[in-house]
Amino acid sequence: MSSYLLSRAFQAVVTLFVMSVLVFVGLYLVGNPVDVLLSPSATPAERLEIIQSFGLDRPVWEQYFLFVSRALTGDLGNSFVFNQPALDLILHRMPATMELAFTALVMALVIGIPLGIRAGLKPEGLISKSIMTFSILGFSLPTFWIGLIMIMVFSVQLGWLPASGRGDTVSILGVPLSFLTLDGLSHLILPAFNLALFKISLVIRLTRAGVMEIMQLDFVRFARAKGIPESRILRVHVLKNTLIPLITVIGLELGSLIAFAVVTETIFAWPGMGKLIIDAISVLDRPVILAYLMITVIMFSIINLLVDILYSLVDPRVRLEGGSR
Amino acid sequence: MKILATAALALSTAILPASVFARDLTVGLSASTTSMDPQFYVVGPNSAMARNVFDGLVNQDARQQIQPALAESWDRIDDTTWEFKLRANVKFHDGSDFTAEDVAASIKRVPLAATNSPSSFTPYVKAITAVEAVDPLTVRIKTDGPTPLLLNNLSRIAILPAEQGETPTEEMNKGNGVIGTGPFKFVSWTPDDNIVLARNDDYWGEKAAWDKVTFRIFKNSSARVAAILSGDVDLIENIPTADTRRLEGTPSLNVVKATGNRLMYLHMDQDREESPFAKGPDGRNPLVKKEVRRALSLSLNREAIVDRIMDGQGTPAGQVVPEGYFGYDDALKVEAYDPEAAKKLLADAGYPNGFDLTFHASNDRYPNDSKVAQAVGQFFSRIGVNTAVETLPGSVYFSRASAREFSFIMGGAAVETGEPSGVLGPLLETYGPNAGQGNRGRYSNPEFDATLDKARKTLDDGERETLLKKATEIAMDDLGIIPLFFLNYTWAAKQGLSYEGRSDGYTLPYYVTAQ
Repeated sequence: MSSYLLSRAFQAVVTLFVMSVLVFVGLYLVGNPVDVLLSPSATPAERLEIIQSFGLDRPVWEQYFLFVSRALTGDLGNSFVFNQPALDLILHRMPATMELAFTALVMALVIGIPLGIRAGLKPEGLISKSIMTFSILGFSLPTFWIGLIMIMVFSVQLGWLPASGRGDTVSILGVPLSFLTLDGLSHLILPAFNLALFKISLVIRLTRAGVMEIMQLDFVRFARAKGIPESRILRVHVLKNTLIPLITVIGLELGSLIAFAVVTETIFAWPGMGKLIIDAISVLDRPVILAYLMITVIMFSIINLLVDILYSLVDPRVRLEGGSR
Repeated sequence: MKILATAALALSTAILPASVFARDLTVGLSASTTSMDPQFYVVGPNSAMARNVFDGLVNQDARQQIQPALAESWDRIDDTTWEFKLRANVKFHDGSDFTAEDVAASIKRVPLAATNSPSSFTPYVKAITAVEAVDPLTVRIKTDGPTPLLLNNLSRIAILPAEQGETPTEEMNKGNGVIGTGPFKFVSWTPDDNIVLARNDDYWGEKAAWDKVTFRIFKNSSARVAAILSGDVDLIENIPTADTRRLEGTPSLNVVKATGNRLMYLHMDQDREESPFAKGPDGRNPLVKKEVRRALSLSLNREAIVDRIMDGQGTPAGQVVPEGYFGYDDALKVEAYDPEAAKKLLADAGYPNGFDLTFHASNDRYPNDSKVAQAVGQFFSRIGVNTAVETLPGSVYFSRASAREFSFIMGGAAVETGEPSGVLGPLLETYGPNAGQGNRGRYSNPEFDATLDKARKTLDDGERETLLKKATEIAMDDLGIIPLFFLNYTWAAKQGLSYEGRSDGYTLPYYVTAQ
């Protein structure tokens, strides 16, 4: 187990390194941030001064070397526009994004699994067909469009829910959380559902396929023959086996929920990390872009690891082994 | 509803404590303030936010003309010495008195706040050689030469208490030392999310009408519009042009428009005989010829661009400042649309069959920039110039434009000084270490440079205005840039709220009133 963890950690470090080189060189090629940031009334001499003060006049390998040597001490540089450590900026916003992503994940599971089971048990029924149509819509309609429609319907027309922002928060162990207040919850519902919609569809389809397949297997027939009640068969035998592929996919999807909540955050003005990265890209705020991507890579690595561990718990046949896989 | 009729409120507050009728305002902004240090970064959203909490010695009004603020009056003792009489009985938000020492310390702090700044305030104070506190309410500022724009420059410098003269930007970003004399006090800031201010009950002017103001950031324009439609906010800025007419038709909203100070213009390569994206049949750059530039300008129907592409949210331009500004020249008319004359000029210049041009523009920096670029390209094609339009994200576009990788570009310049030199200098002055930073076309005319330079050193307003007009005429006759239009700034407020629009586009709650 420990050698397995070690090798995974090593993989993560290699990934981080490769990613940082790619992003650094890419950003260098895109353009000079000073041209975007500087007031047009500044003279060329002033421009040069700022380029030097940011160290942008040095060759790219030297800039990269500086970045890495600072990063090793935990300093990912200051944001050009905020003049604050990029890492702090991102970590401050992480709770908001995490909350949104986890709420969306819970929604996906709570809504998706029952609907998927229903659709899997009676695939020909009218209800099942409606569920499947819903899931096709969830897959194919673009997130930003649905988000805007939801705002128009639930906030502007009906006035039930606020259109944007994050509500009141309470601090739990220093982490501000909004789902524990009524105001916070009302702000959370629309963006979380918007973000969850695609995942709900995914969960429905995975569950349905799993249920349909497992219902045909021998051990289910045997259990039935033994006279075990249908509800127990479903709960103990079918559901548990359906969970295995679900965990893998959902684990990976959680990473993408966190990292790519950008669209939803933009539409609902949700103060998460995604909004920050969009702004950072548009003004080429390199330290923030780099820090964001580094954190994303680390997060994905951790989530993958957790998924693997969880997987072995649900399915005892799976063994975690050292070495590369 | 939190908003009451002003008269009723005035009556009631006389009897009851104000808190009984807490009047809060929530504002939806389109861009994020990046620092609470008012002297850190010269960028619109930061300057606008600073105006709520801080005052300058002088402030710019809604049309960017200079008004007394912390200085009640001023006199020029000689060409390089200015004396300001300060307003008495002004208190900072921490309760301390405002005096001449605070002015000296605030100006002195500018270079410190420039540390790590992507665009600092030092250009505004570089002419200042000394700041002397003559007595607590008199301050003398010396400059290294005649500086007619001193007042404009000072209007951009926020005045802080002298004790904050050494406070670095990092501390202010944590909320420490964000102390001014303005109509609102700083309460809290969450970067890129919200800013909360509270009324300054000791304000030297009329008190603000709002107990508490919350600014929220909505970068996405649809989200901003949804926020005002759903009632999440009371006021938004920068309505997307496509939604302006719809919001005007919404009875629960009040749309405000003002001609803005941002000039959209075309810039072209004027010094290279061979240019990467402008090629005549002989392979040479046609844009160096004045007649060609004139033909391109004549080919544009500015009225149609403003009306159709901008949904009316702009004003056609024939010079660099909008009407009503210092230095606006009545003699310069907006170029009339005349494609026939354009074709003839083109033929006379030696291009009867036009030439090849690729026109580059940004697609995410100005309202509808890529659509405007497409329309301009169409107009050029109509007079026979074989035009291709390529639009790029601003993050890529500006670096490449500065590196002169393009031949013909579109830009937007804000008239931040309230008079023409603030645009003429950066865009049209001969490029060099101390001039012409934004002169991406490398226009150069010694007569223009000399006139502008003279204007910059002329203290007499009448004489200076004449010189600025002359410089503008020279540049417009040469077509160093082709002016397109001025952007309008727009706001939407809930019914019952009114706001006087501003040409600088700032959204200042102090001037938001309940009807």
